[in-house]
Amino acid sequence: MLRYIFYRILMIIPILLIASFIIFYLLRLNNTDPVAQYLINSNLPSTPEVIATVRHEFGLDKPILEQYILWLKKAVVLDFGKSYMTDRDVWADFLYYLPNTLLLAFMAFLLTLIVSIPLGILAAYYRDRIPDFLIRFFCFIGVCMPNFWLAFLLIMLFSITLGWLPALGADGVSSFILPAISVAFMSLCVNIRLIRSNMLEVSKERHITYAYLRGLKKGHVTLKHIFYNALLPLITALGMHFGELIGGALIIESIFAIPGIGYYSLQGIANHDYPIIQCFVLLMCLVFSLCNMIIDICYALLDPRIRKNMEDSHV
Amino acid sequence: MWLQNRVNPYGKKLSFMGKFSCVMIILLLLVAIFLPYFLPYYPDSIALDNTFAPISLSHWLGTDHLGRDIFTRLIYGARISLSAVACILALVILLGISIGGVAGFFGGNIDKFIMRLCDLFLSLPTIVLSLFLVGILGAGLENVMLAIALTHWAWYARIIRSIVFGLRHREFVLLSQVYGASNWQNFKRNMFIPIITQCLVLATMDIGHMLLHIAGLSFLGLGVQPPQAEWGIMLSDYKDYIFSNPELLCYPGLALFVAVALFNMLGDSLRDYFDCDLKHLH
Repeated sequence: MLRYIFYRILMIIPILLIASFIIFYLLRLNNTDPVAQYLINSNLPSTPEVIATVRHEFGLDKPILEQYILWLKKAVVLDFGKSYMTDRDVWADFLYYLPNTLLLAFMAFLLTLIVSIPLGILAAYYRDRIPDFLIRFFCFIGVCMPNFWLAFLLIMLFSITLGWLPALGADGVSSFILPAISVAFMSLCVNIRLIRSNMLEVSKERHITYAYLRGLKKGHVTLKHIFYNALLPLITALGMHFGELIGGALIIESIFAIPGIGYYSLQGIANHDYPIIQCFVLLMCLVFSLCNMIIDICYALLDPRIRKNMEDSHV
Repeated sequence: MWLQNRVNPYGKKLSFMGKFSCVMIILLLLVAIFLPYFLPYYPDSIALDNTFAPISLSHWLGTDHLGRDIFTRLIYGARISLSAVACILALVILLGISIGGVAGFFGGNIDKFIMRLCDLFLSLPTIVLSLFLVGILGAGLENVMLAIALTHWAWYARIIRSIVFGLRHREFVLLSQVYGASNWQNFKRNMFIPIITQCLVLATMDIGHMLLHIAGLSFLGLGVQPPQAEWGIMLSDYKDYIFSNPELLCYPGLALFVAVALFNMLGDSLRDYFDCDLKHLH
């Protein structure tokens, strides 16, 4: 098992290398020009001499491959260069902004777990009865709800009308509650549906009928026999959801004025600030590869059949 | 009738929800296409002497901070979003059918390679992947459409590949091959109808997702650029007035919500109607 985990961690390195090269190349292939944007933002005249100087300063006058190798040499020791616009160290900025985003995504993830599992089980338990209909209606609303609109509605209700929770800023856990709800809402509803349908699928199987025939109570069968067997597909879904939650967090941050990487990288994108965009995309790749890795390891830990398979094929 | 017999031999009926949402969607499309010709205002005509007007007969939903008529902006917003979705769908279905069809038809290494590529695209969350692409390509509606198409094609390619792959070795396909039908004829005669019905269901279920996606990216300032009217842009324009005029934020959000809900409803009903098993995808 340890060897398998080690192998998976090693596999992340080539993925990041390939991803970084593709990002680097694509950024420079397209016709947006960071130099022009820089000159506009800093009120410099765009004469050919100034453009040439700035281009040289940013190192954009060298061939792409040479630029990439130079960048890679520095990136290995976590030096992602300086932002073109603010001249601040990109990595230090990311370290400042990243915790807020991760905290938000993590809280949303917890919320998804805490709410969706009981509601999913309830919906499956009371199949086609009133609780099930209510939960399904709730899910339908949730799947159609734009998360940024939900954020505004929550602010209107809880911050303006009731005044319970702060609308802006990132101080303390209480200011993360509304953002976390708006980020998690859609994943939560998708998850409830998934749990419900998985459990209904499992409940058709013969060992469930057998469990009932042995005289076990319905609640016991639902929790111990049906739910446990319906867990496995849920793990893949949860891994996917974590990615979606980070994506959602990028949008929601801007509404609640939380200083996170969404806000930071959007500025980078608007200014064609290459170092910021490169670092952002690479960081996201790293987060998602780690997510995928954790899902696979969870799978292996939970299901002995898969574990056996993996160890045979990789070692 | 012919199509119905081909795809639905048991004569099932579309549910009430399905019919209702279908009618409403047609109404929505008609409104988005034709109503702008009859509206007295333009979406970006500014009237600074008439800002934050209340609901009245001349301004059905009032006016915004620049005196623009909100109802007009909503209708134009529907126009932009729906036409963008139509373009994306055309692109995605074309890509999906050609790539998935090739993978399913020829199998072997081509199939393996294409499926790996699909896995790669599917493993990244769509919103983040489209953020990457817009970050690389630059902001603008065209780039957003391209980004969304690139993040969605893999679903279609996968579904279509599995249909083609499943049909490839059935007797009637082999038989027509023995009779000398070319690959293309075979594809056209035997596989086109199942592929189109699956695509239809998948597409309707996807439209809601795409609408949310376009609005989300526009909300971030990456998609449709102001002063054009679009639901996401309107929300981000009006967010400064959440304390003074919260009703401004309600209209575009509600419009988006209703549109997405209608398409999702239709998608669910169509899935039951055609009895497609798309569960493993969504």
